[in-house]
Amino acid sequence: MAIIGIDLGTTNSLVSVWKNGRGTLIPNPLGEYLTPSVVSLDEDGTVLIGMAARERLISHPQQTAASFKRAMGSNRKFRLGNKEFTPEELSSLVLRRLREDAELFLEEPVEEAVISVPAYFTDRQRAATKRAGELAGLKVERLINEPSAAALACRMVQNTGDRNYLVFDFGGGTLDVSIVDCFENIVSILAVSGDNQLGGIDFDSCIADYFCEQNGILFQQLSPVQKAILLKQAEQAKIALGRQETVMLVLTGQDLSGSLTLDRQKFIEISAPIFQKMIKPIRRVLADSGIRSNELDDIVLVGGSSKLPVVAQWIGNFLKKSPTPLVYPDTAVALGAGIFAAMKDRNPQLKEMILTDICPFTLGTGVLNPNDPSRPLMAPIIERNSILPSSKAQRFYTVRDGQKKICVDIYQGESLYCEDNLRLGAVEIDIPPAPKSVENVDVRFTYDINGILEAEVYNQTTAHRERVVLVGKDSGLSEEEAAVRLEALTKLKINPRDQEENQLALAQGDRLYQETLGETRQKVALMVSWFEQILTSQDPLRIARSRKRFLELLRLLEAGREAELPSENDWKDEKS
Amino acid sequence: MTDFWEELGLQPTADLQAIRHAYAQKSKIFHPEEAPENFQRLHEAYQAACQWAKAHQQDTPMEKTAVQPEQDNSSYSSGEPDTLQSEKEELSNQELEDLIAAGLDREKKKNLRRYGKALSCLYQLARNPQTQEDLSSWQLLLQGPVFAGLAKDTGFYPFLQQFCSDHYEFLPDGAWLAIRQTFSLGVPNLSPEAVELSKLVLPRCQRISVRKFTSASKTKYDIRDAGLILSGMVILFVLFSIDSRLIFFLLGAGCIILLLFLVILKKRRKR
Repeated sequence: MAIIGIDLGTTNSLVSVWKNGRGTLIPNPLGEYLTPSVVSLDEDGTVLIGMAARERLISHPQQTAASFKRAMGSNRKFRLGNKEFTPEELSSLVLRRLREDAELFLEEPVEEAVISVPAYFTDRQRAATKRAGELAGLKVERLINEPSAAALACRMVQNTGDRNYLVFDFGGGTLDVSIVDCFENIVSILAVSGDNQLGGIDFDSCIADYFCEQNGILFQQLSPVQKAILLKQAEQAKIALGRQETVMLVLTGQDLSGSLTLDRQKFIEISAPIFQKMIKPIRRVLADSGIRSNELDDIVLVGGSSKLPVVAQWIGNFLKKSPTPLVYPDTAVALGAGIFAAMKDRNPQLKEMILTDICPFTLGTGVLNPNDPSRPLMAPIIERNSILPSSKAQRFYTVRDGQKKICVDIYQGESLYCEDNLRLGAVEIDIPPAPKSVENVDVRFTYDINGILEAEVYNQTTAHRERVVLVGKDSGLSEEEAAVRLEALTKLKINPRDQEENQLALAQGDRLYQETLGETRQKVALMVSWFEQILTSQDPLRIARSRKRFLELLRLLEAGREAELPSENDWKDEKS
Repeated sequence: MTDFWEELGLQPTADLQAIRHAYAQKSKIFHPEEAPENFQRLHEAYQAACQWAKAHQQDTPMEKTAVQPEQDNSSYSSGEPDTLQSEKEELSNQELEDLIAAGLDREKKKNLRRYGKALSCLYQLARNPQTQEDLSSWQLLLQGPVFAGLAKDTGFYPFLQQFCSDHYEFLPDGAWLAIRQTFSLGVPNLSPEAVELSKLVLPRCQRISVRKFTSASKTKYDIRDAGLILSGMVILFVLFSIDSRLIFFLLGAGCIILLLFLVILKKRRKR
């Protein structure tokens, strides 16, 4: 039974597997490799996932959720209609769909997966990702960092010689930069950095904000539907600017109308803050790895948003070296995850290969600050960029005479003062009273290959050991509450796979209805009701034919070629 | 860890290639999936050996004039043959840099305008005698569109701090409490900019809470407790009217004493 690799992205998700000696992507029911990470609830409570759901971001924004990856590990809830979901639950619905696609493709059950996460994801966010996998019926023992996965994919392409890469993974919602060293069977991550809140959607926001500014609208005061429409137009404009010099946005709704002409220069100007934010992670990895920009062999662009020509140009300018098109930015991470899944499975073809990942944060404990006892200092035990698995120990002494116990707090972060770092947990141990600085404990932190942190505290005098395993802070649900939610999740009606294409067509119709006005809108309504009626016939051949025609009609309308539409009688005539 | 050479199976050498090769070969035996502790030892040996080798480099490699990203980006060296650049490249790199610089400037100006507007709204609210003390007006402003997003904008904090410091006495209590709430200054793990602001705001808020608290509890105290004592007196009166015997008098007095006792207890607990 194969282990699959999943790229659970902010905007799109993919699944792949090692098959016939190479990483292979698995298509979804629509024949695509990319499945949008969007979930929507239908009027009758059916769950739609993927492309159909993405269309509904505009037609039914109150029933649709997207970009929930950014909220993983937080307590934020998403409201879809009259139901509430946590980000893990939404992710699990996407994962479930990917699992089904894989099972169909491999013609066997799939029980385990390796899921990719941004290198900069915190412990809590990683635990949430694992939980999402479990809710989808997958065993998730291992997570892989996205830049590492991309590096693996690169290595498969260029598998000879010593090479180092700077991997620039710019996705929908996150940026990960890492430096990878490859030689012989070793793929070694030297340094990672990134920005959890910087992605392609920020470009869309910049354009949307600029549109509002030029047309005297306040973005904050738009309705959710209007915001969705504007952002979608902004996204299309952004992509169009890659192909053409100028682009024009025109919106004609009530309260939301205006136009904007944008050329490449202006686009760069309004997006300047985004480029500025990219500098810090790049500098960080160069400094941490000790490699200078002119010593880099290749710069690899990964992630949907790095396909923007302006991003490639900016990086080329900043690092004085142009990126190399080694892998497809959209699919590299998924392929790498699939390869890594096979490595974990100890597949004979990949048995010798080693991916050494690193811990992106410093882990340590708090010690007394003699200058200010109310502000303990951070004492690192596992330094940032330490290789995984890692196990390090340090000895700590008591600070007071007659101290009866030591509380070892566990902190994650780079700051000098503990209060500025993230507290993950604590271990307490009793010790025999003695004058201060006599009694001591050995504190050992072990970060295993699955990213699980274990803290062990040992006192020599009593020969007593206390241990705690940190599996990531739970969302605060009790056992029963979690079971109840799990049941509710499994009971959800999910749109059957064979209905996917029809649902997508209807959703597109809905969206177009939202975006248009007057006569055009009426035409859309006519077409949608015609297609809905055909669907009730349950005749697959008839439906397929009509769907094709329906989509063609919508396409003409959307492209503004209304004049080319056949008359109503003509397009309704199924015999032609 | 002085036996890192032994771990790698090498003689001490400054040849990085040889070290890497030895590490790669040994890693096939001590794979991290199968032997994590051995692998960790091996990896540490590899790192130590690399450091030793770097320190003992005999030949100084030709240092290319590395243009570090830390240096000023405006010095563009046109020598590098860029694979993506063609003759017809629409935007030269210089143009790119200029546009970004212009964009950042624009953004900065936009932000300054926003900050100015936000601060002047604060000022207006503080000047208005009707809304000065009203906590809900402050909350409305600070959670409204003018301040939307400013809590996450670290650039705003120094301006807000300067403003609060300049108008320390002028800003009413409601303002301080609303600022603390909107900018989440009471929580741990504050950003460095927020820390400075909190040092100004938190002590000021401490003073308010105590005062408002005691005055609030006093008023609550008065009404409720007056009511209790009154009801005690009513009971006494009723008892008297039933039968003016001593025992009922004592019972009534006992009730009043009990009520007074409860009132004092409540007062103490609240403090």
